Amino acid sequence: MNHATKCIARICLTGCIALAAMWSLFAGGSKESAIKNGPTEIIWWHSNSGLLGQATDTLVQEFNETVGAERNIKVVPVFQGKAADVLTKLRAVMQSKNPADLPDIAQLDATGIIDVRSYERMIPMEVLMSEAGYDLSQLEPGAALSVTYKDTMIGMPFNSSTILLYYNKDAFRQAGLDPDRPPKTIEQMAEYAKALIVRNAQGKIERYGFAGVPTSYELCAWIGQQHGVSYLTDMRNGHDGDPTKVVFDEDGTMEVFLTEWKKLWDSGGLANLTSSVTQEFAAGKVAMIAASTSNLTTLLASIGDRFELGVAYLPMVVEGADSGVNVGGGALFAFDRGLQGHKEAVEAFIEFAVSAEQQLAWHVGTGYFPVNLGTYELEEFKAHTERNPLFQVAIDQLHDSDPRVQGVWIPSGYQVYYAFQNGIRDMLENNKSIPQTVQDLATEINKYISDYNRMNR
Amino acid sequence: MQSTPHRTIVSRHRRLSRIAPYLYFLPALALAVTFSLWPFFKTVVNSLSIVNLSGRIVEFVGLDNFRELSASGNFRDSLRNTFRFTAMFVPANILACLGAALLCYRKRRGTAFNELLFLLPMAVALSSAALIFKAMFNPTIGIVNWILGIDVDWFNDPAMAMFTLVALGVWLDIGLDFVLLLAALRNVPTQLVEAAAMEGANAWRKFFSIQLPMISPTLLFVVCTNVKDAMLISAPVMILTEGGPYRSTQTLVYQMYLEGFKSGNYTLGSTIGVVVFLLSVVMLLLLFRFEKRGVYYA
Repeated sequence: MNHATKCIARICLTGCIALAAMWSLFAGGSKESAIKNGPTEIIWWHSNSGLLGQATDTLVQEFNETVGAERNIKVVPVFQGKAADVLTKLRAVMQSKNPADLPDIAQLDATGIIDVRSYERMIPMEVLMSEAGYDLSQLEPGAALSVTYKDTMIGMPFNSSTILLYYNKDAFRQAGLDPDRPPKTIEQMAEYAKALIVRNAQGKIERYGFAGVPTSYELCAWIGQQHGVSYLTDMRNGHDGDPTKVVFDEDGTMEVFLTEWKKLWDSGGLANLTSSVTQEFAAGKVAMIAASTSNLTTLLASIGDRFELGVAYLPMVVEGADSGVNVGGGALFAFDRGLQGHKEAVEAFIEFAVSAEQQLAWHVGTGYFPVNLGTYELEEFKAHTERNPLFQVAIDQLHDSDPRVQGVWIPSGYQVYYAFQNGIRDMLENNKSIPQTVQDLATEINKYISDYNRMNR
Repeated sequence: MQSTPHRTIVSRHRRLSRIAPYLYFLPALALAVTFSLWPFFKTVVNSLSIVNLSGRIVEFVGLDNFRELSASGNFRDSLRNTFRFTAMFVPANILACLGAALLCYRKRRGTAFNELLFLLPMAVALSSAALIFKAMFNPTIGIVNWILGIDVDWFNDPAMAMFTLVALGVWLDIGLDFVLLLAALRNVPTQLVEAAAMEGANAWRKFFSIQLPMISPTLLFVVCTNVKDAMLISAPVMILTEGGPYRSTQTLVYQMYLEGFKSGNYTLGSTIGVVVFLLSVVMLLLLFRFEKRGVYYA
């Protein structure tokens, strides 16, 4: 063998050894947590960054120092990116045959529920908590129903929010509108939007009345609040099983909504923005937006004293559609990793995380509303809402809503989200008729549903 | 008899040197099989089947998936967007890189500094660059509108959103392509250029008659990699526009990501993957055809 060949052989050998070492590293990684000495380690995959991340770390630290220390449990929070990234990684583990690689707890939003709800290693939260003697009636009913599948609460509502109307009180005053009387219906919102338009010398609009293009998020409320309670799809928005088709086309709810929405567009005060809507609002370029209650903390901070912020119930689609809004956001899901003692440890942590006191801290730190009814009785909570009356509006709206109004669990959730947005914008900007829009939306979304059902019989 | 041990050594030596090449080949092959060939094969099989949420094949359906895909408006949007991006990105990128290389190829004072500036984008991670562009093009607080004194809503206007993607793409690619073209330009024999200059050729004439043909092999390589990059663009879309507004920047690979990874629709994801592969191969083959006529090898 000449020198060059030896050299290459050595490089190859080193490469092989490196590969083998990496392999053993991966293989060893999964066994690591099974080693039974020291505290039981509970892995929690979450998607909380920024203010939320800080609140998460505080919560975990408090648990580890109190209950955790007593019961020899250590919770390890692992930030996995956005909610969708948590799901992508979870899906990969679910497809492998290695349950020990699962997290003990994963925080998911509505788009992830389809994946986990029938997964055999998911421990339904209701079962987990009831076995430990936890009383589920202390939970906010709307929040509990938002993660209920076939009458079982499968996850623990945790970062719960609803949609809310945000408006610029100073702009209202300028336009001669009463800042304490926000619009009650979409039709009224159209009148307000028209009055709120500000044009520059060239006639270009500098401030719009309202901005946004409705997606599944807004429609769960605007469709859901009609006729008592309505749903976008059959199976009660997928909470009773796999949806087989949309129903908004048959029961006329979408037509009602689009008719009202068209009025808003015809007022000239609607901007079809899909990107940085809250930033535009904070910059004063838009006078009203509909967004999650969880934006309240951030919006208050970014507006500063530029203008006075007002919040109100989401306007009703029409007079009388008063069932309110659904609970959105995320929930905690527990998984059986096949490790001893983990189930009890997970229960202990979740019980701690949704206790009245911790939910208060979580609410104050993040703006998500407390999911424990006990929080509302705390003196500290009352003092906090008195200082920050805007938070009270969000909570009142939740309590005035029918808990049966539900978010939608639908396959290809992202595509459906954009389908609504594109369909509605198409109707507004390209003058498509309302019945045609309803039909096209139904056809497109039904295709996603039937594709899914064909794949997952 | 005495020569036996020697002979064994020799024959062992020979045997080893015969197997050796295959051994060297093995690590590369293992990596290729694990990370490219097997996934590729699996994608093709999946595209001909119905795959469930757990990634298992439920049914073999032949070309049904492709038929359904061609009827989908969503897919046609992605296809149109991908071609639109390629048609804008490739010429813009070639012009920018070639322009930069032409500015720098003659060694003068300050050239090294200029080179460094053009190389700098290579040192910036894609996601950081995308986030910076997102801030720069922000309609209200972004520097682009401020400097140009305009009020363009970059990410809410379909035409403008595509433009920001192209701008980001060019900026990200400029480093490597610039180096390649710069090296090629410097390899053009000076006597040819000087001779042409003495014959009275102006700068254009020198460029089109001497430099361009001389760098054409490198240029072909750059165009090919650009076309491939453009056809496969997804990461900048993911960070900068998320396919919006109204799917106007949803490219094929981004749709594949949405369907396959975000929605767990492996059937559709794999089918789109195969289509992207075929389209890219066809485009590259067309470019190679051009090689025979348009590329000059000295």
